Amino acid sequence: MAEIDAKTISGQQNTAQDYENRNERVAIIDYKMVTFSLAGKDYAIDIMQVKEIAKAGRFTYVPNTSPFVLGVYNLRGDIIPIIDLRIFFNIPTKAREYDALESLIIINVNEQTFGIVVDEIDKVVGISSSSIQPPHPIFGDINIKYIHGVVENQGRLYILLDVERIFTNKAKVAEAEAEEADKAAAPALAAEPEVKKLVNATRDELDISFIRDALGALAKFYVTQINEHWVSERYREWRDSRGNADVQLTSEEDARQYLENFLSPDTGTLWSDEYASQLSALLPQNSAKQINVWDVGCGKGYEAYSLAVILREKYPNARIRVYANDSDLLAISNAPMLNVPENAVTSRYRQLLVQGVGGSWTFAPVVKDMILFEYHDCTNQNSVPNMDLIVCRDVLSFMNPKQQAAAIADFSEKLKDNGLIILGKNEAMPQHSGWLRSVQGEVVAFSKE
Amino acid sequence: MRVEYINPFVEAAYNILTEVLGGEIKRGELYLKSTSMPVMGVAALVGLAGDVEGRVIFDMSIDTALNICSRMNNEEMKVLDEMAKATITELANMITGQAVTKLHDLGFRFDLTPPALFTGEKMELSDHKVEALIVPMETGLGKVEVNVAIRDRM
Amino acid sequence: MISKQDFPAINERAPEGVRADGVAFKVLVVDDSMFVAKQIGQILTSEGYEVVATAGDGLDGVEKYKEMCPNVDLVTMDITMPKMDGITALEQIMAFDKNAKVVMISALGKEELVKKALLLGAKNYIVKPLDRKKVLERIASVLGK
Repeated sequence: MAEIDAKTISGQQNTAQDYENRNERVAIIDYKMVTFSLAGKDYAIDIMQVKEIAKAGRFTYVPNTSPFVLGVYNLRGDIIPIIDLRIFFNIPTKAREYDALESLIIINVNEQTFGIVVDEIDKVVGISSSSIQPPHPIFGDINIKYIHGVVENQGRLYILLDVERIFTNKAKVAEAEAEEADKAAAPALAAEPEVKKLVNATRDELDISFIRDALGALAKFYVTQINEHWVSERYREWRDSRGNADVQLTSEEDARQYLENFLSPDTGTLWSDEYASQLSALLPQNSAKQINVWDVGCGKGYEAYSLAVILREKYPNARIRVYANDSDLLAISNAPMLNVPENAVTSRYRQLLVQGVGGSWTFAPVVKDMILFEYHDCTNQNSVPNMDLIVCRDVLSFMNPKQQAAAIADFSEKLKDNGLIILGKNEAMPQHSGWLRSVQGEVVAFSKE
Repeated sequence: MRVEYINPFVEAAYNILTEVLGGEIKRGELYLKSTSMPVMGVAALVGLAGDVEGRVIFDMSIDTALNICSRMNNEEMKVLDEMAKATITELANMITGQAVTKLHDLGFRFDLTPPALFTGEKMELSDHKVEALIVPMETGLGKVEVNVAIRDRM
Repeated sequence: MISKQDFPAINERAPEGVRADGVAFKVLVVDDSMFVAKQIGQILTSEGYEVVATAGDGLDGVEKYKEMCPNVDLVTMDITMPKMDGITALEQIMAFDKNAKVVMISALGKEELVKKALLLGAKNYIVKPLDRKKVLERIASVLGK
């Protein structure tokens, strides 16, 4: 009898001791977590795994990935997959607006960075790790294996997510998927080496990388294999010219200056006789009765007219049709009736111009009838016929990499086998992608291998 | 869309709306749209034929449609009945007619078909492979979008 | 005492739609839009004309004219209509009755179309939108006032 009593008493004493200890432990804050809400419920993540918090909108959609991968995002040079936890956990959520700014928690798991989209980020809460209770299946709408525990703080109940579990299984697959799909979607266009090397990059490499981002954000100029050679060359000049001042582009004016020498010759005016003859020399012999030319991004129209004149000279027996597009309505709306300023009227053009009332020069009907000017965005479906010549000067560089790839694929499809593509002076088709390069003076042309 | 076709539609929309509705008509900025286009509730469609193939859609909310009908009929109309529908299609007919007339004077041979009216909520017009020019018109009675898609017959 | 008779009757005139003998002119309105038909009807009846019938397409218009002739003084004809367009209908009516008085009313104002209609025998051509004054003037002139 006495024995049992002793045990019971010591048991009670232990309990009393435990209770005291527990009270002490509650006072020590040794665990901090970032709290947020998902579909109205409170969740939290260990702050040690949280790299930062951000708000972002446009994610680059990557096809062929799981639905909870919204896409990828460029976080200062680092391409990270963005996961929507609401979709991941099958929590019903209303459809995203494409441009809506989402709250992102950037986390680091097993040396990999991910961004997760949540409804609303709350605050950092400090608790005692001993107050974390193991999960009970009754808590939460999500699979219990992803729950590290639950903890109460100031009247609110937080479900602590086990990000390692979450992001080591499904998400790891997602990351791999995203990488694969990304590679497939923009083949050889993204200049991978630059981005990957960032960890051990030199000062220059870092600067160029930031400049590339800035060009995209400030001037809508996207650096890819199409123009990166020029961008790097230009960087050297730029760095030297800036001397002590900051190399970085911080305003639209900076970006404009950086891009000063990018544009092709004779932009916005009729082409000089010299440029015209260089281009003409690159054109192949062609005895076809009808010759089709696609002028993408013709602007005010000078380019289309210049082309029409050159082609008329080169192929006098053919019926020539120039399909000229631009997505800038203000620029192209006057193209059919373009006035050529007096000082641009060289003898070569003179014979094809007529002078109207008031002394202004416009092209004669024989030239005007060759050209079809259309207000059209070439990133939409293109319904032009097959082409003998495509002229797309300084247009690709101002389209994002996805659009660039799509446009090049479109050109490739629409170009006849013996056709030519002419890009801007400082642009080039991606290497090893099936294009032969030929040069004449300042004109660079590409044909299919 | 061919540059020469744009102005006639913009001007016709402005002229007819001004004459028929009165008040101040403001034209919004033009832009291009592709793929399927959500419709605001009432859409009048006029087909185009001749040297081109295509159509013009006049898109507006049901409230705007009723306001316009009330103004054009000089009496308050609260329901989109047969007369109201006939009123909207006539508006579409007049605007397209004037545009086609102008284009004809410029040398482009177009014809138009009798108009059709579509109503419904959350309608989407799916024109694959067709890029459309959108001319937003702000009338005092609501917004009307003129949606033009024209392709030259090669 | 001044009475009404002392004031000159400058504002009083006979409605245009009524003949000298007091009988209204009879008009056949051909248009596929009930709105336009109503509009034309309102303009005409406000001036004393009588709208004896409306037709919704060219074919119906021709048939009604043939039925009602000679009790139709004037026809207003739309051009863009289903089944049979206004130009074809005009041709058929003129073939049936070379003295028919047809006035084209259309949203289209193409020069070619106007010429063609007039050559086929239309007496006038009105371009929509309809202006009350313009419509009445043209119709009055066609009816020989």
